[in-house]
Amino acid sequence: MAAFIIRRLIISLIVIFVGVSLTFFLVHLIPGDPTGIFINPALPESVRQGLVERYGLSQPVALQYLKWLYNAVRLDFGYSFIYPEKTLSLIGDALVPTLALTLSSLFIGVLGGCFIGIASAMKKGTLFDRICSTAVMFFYSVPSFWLGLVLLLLLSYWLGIFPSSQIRSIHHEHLSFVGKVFDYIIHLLLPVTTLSLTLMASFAKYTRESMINALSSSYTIGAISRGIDKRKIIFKYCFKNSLIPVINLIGTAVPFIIGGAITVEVVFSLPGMGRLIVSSILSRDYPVVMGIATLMFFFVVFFNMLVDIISHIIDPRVQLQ
Amino acid sequence: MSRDNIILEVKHLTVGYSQKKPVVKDVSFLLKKGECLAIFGKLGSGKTTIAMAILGFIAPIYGMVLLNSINILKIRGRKRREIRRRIQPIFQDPFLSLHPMKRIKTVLEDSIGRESGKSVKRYLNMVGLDASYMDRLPSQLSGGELQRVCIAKALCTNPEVLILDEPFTAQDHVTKVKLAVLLRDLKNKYNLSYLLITHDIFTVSFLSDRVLLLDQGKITETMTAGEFREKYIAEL
Amino acid sequence: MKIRKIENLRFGLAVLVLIVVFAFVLPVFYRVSPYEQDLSNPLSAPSIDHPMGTDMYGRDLMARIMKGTANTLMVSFLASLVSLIIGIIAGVISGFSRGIISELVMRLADVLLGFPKLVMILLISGILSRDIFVSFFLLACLSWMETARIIRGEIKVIKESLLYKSLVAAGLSFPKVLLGYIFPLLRGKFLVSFTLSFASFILIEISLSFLGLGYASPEPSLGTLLRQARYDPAGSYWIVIFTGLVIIILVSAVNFIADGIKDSLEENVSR
Repeated sequence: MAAFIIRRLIISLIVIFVGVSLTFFLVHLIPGDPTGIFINPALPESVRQGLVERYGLSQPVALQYLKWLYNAVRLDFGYSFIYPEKTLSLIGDALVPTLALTLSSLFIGVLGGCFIGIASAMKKGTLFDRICSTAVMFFYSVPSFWLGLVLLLLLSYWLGIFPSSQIRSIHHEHLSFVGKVFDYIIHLLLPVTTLSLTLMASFAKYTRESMINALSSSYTIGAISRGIDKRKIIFKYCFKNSLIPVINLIGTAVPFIIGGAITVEVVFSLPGMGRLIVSSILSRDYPVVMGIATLMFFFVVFFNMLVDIISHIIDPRVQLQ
Repeated sequence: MSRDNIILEVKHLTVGYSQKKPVVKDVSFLLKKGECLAIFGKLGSGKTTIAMAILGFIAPIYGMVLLNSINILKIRGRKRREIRRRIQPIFQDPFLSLHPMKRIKTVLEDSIGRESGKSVKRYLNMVGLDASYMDRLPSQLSGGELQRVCIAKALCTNPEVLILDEPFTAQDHVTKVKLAVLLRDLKNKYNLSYLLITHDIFTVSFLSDRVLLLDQGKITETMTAGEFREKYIAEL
Repeated sequence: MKIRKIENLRFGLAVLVLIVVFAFVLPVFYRVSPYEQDLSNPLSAPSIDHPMGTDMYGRDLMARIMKGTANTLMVSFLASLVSLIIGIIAGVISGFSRGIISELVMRLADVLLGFPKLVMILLISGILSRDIFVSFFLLACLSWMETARIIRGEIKVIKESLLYKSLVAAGLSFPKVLLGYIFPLLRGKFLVSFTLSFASFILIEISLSFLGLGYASPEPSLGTLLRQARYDPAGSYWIVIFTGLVIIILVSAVNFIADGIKDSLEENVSR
């Protein structure tokens, strides 16, 4: 067990190392003066010189590489070109709304999805199942931001019920504590609904299939014919077996959340990571772009490792593939 | 036994998936030209592993396989492919040995390869099938017919040795007898040498000239077919 | 159940054909330009002149949707093809090699798999090249993993089969075995991979163009149309509705096809 974890850790570290190095080389592939990439050309000469010193940009590439590695590990990604802030703090600020959106959607989506999936599997062929399956197919085929757009147009512009953008109202500062909380919630309601629906569709589809397989497996049929209480079988065996792949699916849903969240955030103008990524790319704010890329990489690798270890704990037959 | 007569020689063959527990232990034997040597043993005694090693699908831990005095395990590349064609396998399940999407004609043509002048029909006739089988798919044939096709496929490469790994175990008894007769006739007509691997007493007594008894990877006894029949059939 | 699945497949295929006709064949008969502006008639409702209405610059919506669908389909199709080819190559290399090479390829796959494709293409598009075909090509080069993993698994199984052993024993050369015998067996898996990538790339294109990278104005795609709707929401209901309709139909159709193929494959195996 410990050996497995250690091995996984070492591999993850190697992968992180490769990834961070790659980010460095990728940027240096861009034609043009690399100093223009790390340091805003609009700054006055003296300031630029200072920054060039600080980030060692006049030195040979090999040294720069090492400096980059050193800085990356310390999470020092320099200053943004556009905003007068350190990249890291920009990212930190942006992370909060994204996490609020992502985590709540995941929570609702997974629970709702599993519930619907399992329920429709058990009532296979009934009207309930057919309605659910059609709905699931619909929400599964639709890009999440289209859904968001529709909700936005419908409930925000047309009916005027919900606010259309941002995470707080203009007068947010003047609200009471409860008022502030409510303000957050009402701004998040539409985006969370959007993402949750999309997630629910994926999870419902998957759990339904998985549950159907479990229900018709020889184990279940055998148990039922031996007279064991149906309900007990369903809860003890089918549920558990359907849920193990769900954990795997959550692992694969994380990238989706980051991807799906980007577009949804843009639709609702939420000041989160998604919008930051897009705006920094569009405005060629390279330090931010690289910072985000590196952080994402850390995150993805770390999370994969976690999922692997958890899966291994739950079912030791799972090996490093 | 003169040296010229020996077509296949296996020397100190030791095969296994781990060094400590070899499945085949220090097996040595000779196969004469035109004879049928049976390796008889229970399931799990290592018979199929010997076949796989001779055919080159498992690398032995130790030992040599000499075909016409050439150590075939050491040869690589194109020469290896040529040599491979001289020893052909016939496996237990003919359906699994054939590609489900390919017609019999194509299968045989691929096996014949570049050797011109010999047509598919000829090989089909050798195994007792007529030309109507050429355009059929494996799923349309019975077990016995499929095994005949596999035999034809093996003959396409003009082999000297056939390795028969449980060739009739998946067939019904009537077919079994017919196929056994076919193989015997082919052997006599074309002077082929057979290595027969099986646990079936009938096949051994009908086809083979000599028998090796294999138990847990080691050869325990050698006898002629006559001695074998006495020992096993008399007991029935 | 089996019958329904095959009907789903046929239905999906039929719908997809209809959409392809809509995108590529119909414009020959419906000769309205998707680029021509008419600022006197912005955001109008469907009428005889403009069956789907107009966008904010007065351009005919139906023509734009037709062209847009064609654009989306093209990029996605090409990217799926590239992704499939690279995936097959990687899978074959990994499947037939032993030890280090095999491990290395799979490790690399694991790393890349963890990355959301949309983020990858955002970074590619933002840093390397804005051109949509270039970015999609690069994305396709980074999307080989799922296919490779499946192919590798299949090859490892085939290598142990009696069929493979018979072929090797017959002395057939490797290319002949691979192309003549192994690939035909994997046809179904290739198709499933391709269809799934196709659905995925369609959604990625739409998202990418929606975000402002990808296809750029005035070139329409299913994504750019939605982008316009977002930034000019008053009155763009028709754009959202019609574009959404096409997207739903398209993606559902492709998903139906993918499911159908997957299921009919399973039936073949259990026979």
